[in-house]
Amino acid sequence: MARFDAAVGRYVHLELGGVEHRVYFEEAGEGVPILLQHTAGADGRQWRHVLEDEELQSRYRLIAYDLPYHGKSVPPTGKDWWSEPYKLTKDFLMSVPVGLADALELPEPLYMGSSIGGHLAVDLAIHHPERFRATVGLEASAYTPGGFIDEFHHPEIGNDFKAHVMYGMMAPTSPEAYRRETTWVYSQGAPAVFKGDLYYYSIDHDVRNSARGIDTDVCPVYILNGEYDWSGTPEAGEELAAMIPGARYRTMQGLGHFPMCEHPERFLAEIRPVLDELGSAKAKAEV
Amino acid sequence: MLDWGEVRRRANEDGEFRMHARFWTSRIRLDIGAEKHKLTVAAGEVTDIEPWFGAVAANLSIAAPEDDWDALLEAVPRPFYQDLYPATLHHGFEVTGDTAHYCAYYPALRRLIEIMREVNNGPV
Repeated sequence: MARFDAAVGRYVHLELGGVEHRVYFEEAGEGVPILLQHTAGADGRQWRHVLEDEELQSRYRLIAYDLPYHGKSVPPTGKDWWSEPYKLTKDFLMSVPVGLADALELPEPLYMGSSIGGHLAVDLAIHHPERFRATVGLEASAYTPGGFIDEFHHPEIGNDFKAHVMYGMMAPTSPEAYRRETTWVYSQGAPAVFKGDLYYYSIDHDVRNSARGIDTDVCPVYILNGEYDWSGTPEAGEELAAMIPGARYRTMQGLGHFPMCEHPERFLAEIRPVLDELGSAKAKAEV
Repeated sequence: MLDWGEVRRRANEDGEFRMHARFWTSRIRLDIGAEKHKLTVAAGEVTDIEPWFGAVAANLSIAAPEDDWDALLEAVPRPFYQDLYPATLHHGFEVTGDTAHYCAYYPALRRLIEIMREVNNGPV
């Protein structure tokens, strides 16, 4: 008898920035929808362990998507994308989970993401608070300059470089097989994409002057950063949460920049109570 | 004091290091506090690790106080000593030399430091 994962995948066509994109997503479970955003230069495979968690499946509709240009969401056919540098902007990035929530008719999904996805949790709470029940930022910071560097897309430097820098962002105690899988996914990104994503991570995302305007009564925000994440450090996560009135923060001990895929068991133990707290909050329409 | 002969032996027998070091020829200076070493790699093989003498140029230099090296080579490193890259951002490590060369062979250097860590902490 064959053993299948619970997650199933399909494509949805979204109009993003005036261009049609064919966006891949996988989902599992039933209940409160959660949109799951991967890190820069990677794809939704990072969430595969979370999608297979039976406890979460019993209460949530878990939806992990590949951003355009990532994973199975190949570049659009309606644009000469090959003639210009790939660069991820805040407006485009925000349009993906919002567009997906609209297309899938998700009334008030939770949102959770790591790294660029963690930063996005805060930008969504600023710009689209009514659209989400709550946002969870993993490995998030108010501002992370210094990442948009040429070495991440350079003809003399292979994709192995970024993959192995990412290996070093994980906790040394995380299981080796999962750290290697995370590194493998990184080595498969199209060469220009990681650096292009870091345009958002290091330049376009800066909430130092706007985070305090978030109304967490409308959109609760939870920030969790890993002890070993040297980019979205625990200190940076705590500082960010302190800027947002009512935001909650926790350091995840023994985890790094990729909590959901570097040590799924440890991450799930951290995140289940957070999701249950946020997911059980009344939908805005009921308040 | 690391057993440098053992570092060299293990590196040359290590499948992962050899794969990442393919086509690599380089002279690397390692400054461990006041101690200075020259690590020579030729066509992907570590040919020598010896005390650094004279004024010859290195392709790469990796320098840090002895305490930082001790922290980097702990069996389970504390946060941001888990890898050379964060150790240069958050701790006392400094890497100088050709940036493209450093980045191209970063996976080999990363594995070499793991081998140093294994030697430092006894048999694995």
